[in-house]
Amino acid sequence: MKKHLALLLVIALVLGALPAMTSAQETPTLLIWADETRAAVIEELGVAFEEEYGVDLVVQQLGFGDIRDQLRIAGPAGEGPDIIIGAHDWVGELVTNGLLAPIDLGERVEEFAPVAITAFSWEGELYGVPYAVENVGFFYNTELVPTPPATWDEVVEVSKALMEEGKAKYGFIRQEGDPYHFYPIQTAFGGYIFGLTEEGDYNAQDVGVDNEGSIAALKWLQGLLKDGLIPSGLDGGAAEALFQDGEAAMYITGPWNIQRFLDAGVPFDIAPIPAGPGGPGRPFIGAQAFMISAFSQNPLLAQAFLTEWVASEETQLALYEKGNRAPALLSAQAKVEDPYLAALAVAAEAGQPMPGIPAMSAVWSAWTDAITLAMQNPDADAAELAAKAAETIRAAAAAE
Amino acid sequence: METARGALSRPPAALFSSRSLLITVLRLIALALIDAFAIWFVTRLVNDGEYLLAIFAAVITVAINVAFLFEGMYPYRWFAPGLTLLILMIIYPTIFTLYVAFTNYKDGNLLTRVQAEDVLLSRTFLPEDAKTYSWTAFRSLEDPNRWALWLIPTDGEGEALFAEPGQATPLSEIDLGENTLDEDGIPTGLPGWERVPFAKTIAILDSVLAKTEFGEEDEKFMLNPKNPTKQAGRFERKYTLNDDGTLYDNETGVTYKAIRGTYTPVDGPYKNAQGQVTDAEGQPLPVIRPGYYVPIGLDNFKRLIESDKIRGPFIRVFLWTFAHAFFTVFITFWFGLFLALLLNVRFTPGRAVLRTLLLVPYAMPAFISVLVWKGLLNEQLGVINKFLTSLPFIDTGPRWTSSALWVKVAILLIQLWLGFPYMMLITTGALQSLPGDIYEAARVDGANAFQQFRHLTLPMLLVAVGPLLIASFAFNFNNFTIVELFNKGGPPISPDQPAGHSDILITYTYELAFGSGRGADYGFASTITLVIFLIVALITVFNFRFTRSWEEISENV
Repeated sequence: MKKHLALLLVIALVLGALPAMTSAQETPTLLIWADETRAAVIEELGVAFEEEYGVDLVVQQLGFGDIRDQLRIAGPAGEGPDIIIGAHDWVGELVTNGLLAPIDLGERVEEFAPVAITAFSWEGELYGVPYAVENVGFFYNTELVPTPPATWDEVVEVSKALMEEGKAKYGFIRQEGDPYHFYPIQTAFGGYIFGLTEEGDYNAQDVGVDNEGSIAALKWLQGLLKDGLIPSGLDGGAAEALFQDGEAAMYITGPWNIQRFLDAGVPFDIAPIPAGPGGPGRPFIGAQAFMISAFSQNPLLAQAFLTEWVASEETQLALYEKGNRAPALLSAQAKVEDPYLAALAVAAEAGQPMPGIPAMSAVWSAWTDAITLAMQNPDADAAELAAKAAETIRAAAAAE
Repeated sequence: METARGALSRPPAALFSSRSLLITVLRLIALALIDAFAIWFVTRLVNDGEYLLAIFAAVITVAINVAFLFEGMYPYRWFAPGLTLLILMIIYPTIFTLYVAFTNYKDGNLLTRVQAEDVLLSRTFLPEDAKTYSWTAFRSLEDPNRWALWLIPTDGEGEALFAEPGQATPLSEIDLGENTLDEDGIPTGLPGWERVPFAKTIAILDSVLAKTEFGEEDEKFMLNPKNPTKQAGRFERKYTLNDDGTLYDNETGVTYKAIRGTYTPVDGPYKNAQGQVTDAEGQPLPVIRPGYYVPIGLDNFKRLIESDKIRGPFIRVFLWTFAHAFFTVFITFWFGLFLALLLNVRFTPGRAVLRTLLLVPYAMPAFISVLVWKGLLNEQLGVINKFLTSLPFIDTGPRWTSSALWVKVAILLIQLWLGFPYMMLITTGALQSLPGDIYEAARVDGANAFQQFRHLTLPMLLVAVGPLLIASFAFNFNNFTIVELFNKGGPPISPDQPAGHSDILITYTYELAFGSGRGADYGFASTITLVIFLIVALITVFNFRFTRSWEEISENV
């Protein structure tokens, strides 16, 4: 009897405790995942949004790359954020996995840099409100190279001259692997990664990493290696260190290094990517945006935050101040006066939005491997490496 | 025996004795709180379609209740927290991994069925004949829970509407009362209604406005889920879930069926000669994402065995995993033993200090040491290669990170650095416990130092440290930190193979499962994990057997 009494007591207590756990919250809360740089800005400027609209913003700070990885786990489990910040090349993967909610900016879409909007569009839907655009440019040491070379042939000549005169250890350098930094060279020689459809979207079925231009670009690099003009086995950090110390005169990199080079006191400027036999060198244009989790409990409020707060001039300028990337909102972009960002914008004129299609993940693996192997073994058959990479990428594109 | 049993099983009446009544009530309250949490947690898991975890959580909760309500289960009360954690953190993940190995859990099929359906069913579209409107919220003065929208067509054509739940009235039929239209065409107020400023509507977008259906039953207006602050309209659900589990696209009339968890078009208004469902222009329609994961039987195992692209690197990686673990144990053991023997010589001056110093590599966190070594072994800027190339007879240093052979040498070198102190430590301990008298006997018999080592020290040492060597082998079999941190498994073997020259099974699996560059395939990665598990399990069984046989030897020594 007493045992039953105890059970009854347990059940009564359980039922009593349940309503307390499900009571509704009065003030809606938005949980935002941002990296260190952005989190500070959101916490500082988000107060105005909180006060004006009577909502709470909670910012959780994560490493930039962790945001994508954690969203796949926390989002579906219902533990995830309402809003994340992220880069446009995540879009294909996140949308394929059903993790992002679409956004409709209506006419306001024209207030943004078209390339940023394209970058965050996926099968006709927009998945982010962009706050920054970025691309690489041709960084050169103004003391060693007074006028920037316009073609890759000139780059080789300048490099040779500098090294022979002993002014610098190296002329032009580049880091190993990495299709992102290789693309400007690849396109200058007439190569490409994905072709375009008639509508101007990337066509996953048209893979160009084994075309003549791409192979020529690989062979050109191998030639430089054989002639000892560029060092092998350089990773990003080592290459940056060489340029920063004035030991290398020319380097392809992006706005994230501007502050570092300024702090190091190396005299530098930025030029468009040199041209080659295939035309101008085309950098990839990337963008960063605020996106909404498909599992948000406050999806409409999240939308409102993006249109009312992220898409404002003040916010975009504040994010620029901290992040050193050009704002994506055109009116904010016009207010930025920064010679380096202006020079990068000139380099971006020949640029192309970086593809976000899922087949890109095969590019990041297979094409990286091909470039790495070509640079590690200057005698390796560039055509064969490119063909193998293309085969892998085509297989990935066909599986989509 | 009798007394012990009597002490353990107290008479049940003690449960409600006045002395422990307070404690019992407190215990029951705590139990009720745990149960309340568990019920909430399990409900949520079921709603999300996480049935396996839900079952585990339910079983654990029942077990906890049993342990705390029945006196006979008394000892389990002390085990309950530990067992709960053990089940949730070890046993559940193991069973889940086993399950995942038989599913297609990967990019594109990442969600459970419930989650994927929720995502797809929340999508909306605007029918072709429908307009969009800008909206202003109104709140009833009589009933604060009643809301309405003033809707103005975005294209400027047609009349404004006042839509409240159940009815929509065009502007021409509305009695504005004393109010007027402002410059945007919105009334400043309406009889019985108050106009709500925009800023006040943001906080109730989800809790109120999204949940209200404005207008008549067959002509409902809702906020545009993709642009809620600016637009409302007669948006409709894009997909309808049929009873047979197929999805019907209300916009295009296409029916999608989940094939292996991916919604594939099976029927629609347009089809081509091959029977594929197409759009109006004759282009075959793609599948819709997201999909969900489903069991796919032995397909992952088949892929491991049948695909050249996978099997080729797998065998390679498998062999290197073994070689890496074996050589690591081999070189660290001999070097460690060598140092231990040297330091065991009693007249070595300062040997206490030396012994301490030699333990430093072991005391440093491994990942820091690996990063230091990574810098030292950098091909261009590393100290080692800079020193080597400065020698007159060496042109280029070894290609530590880009050559298939040297990268393995480099990893073994780092392993030696990290591993020898441990071996030195355990062999020193074993050496010091060896009995001195048998050496005396050996010397009397005329054995020289090498013979003593070969026939006395080594066999006795191996009895003591043999099991540790096998444990060390099993540990290095899965030594993720060193391989991943040093060169991420590189250099690549070939652009068409997803493995590098220094990859061991665990890093290879990690790349397949989480490598952001390759697209995640958890199902296949779990399959490989199972294979690794089997291998390590075999080693462990071997270890136990071996330990027993050594024990028998040592008994006879």
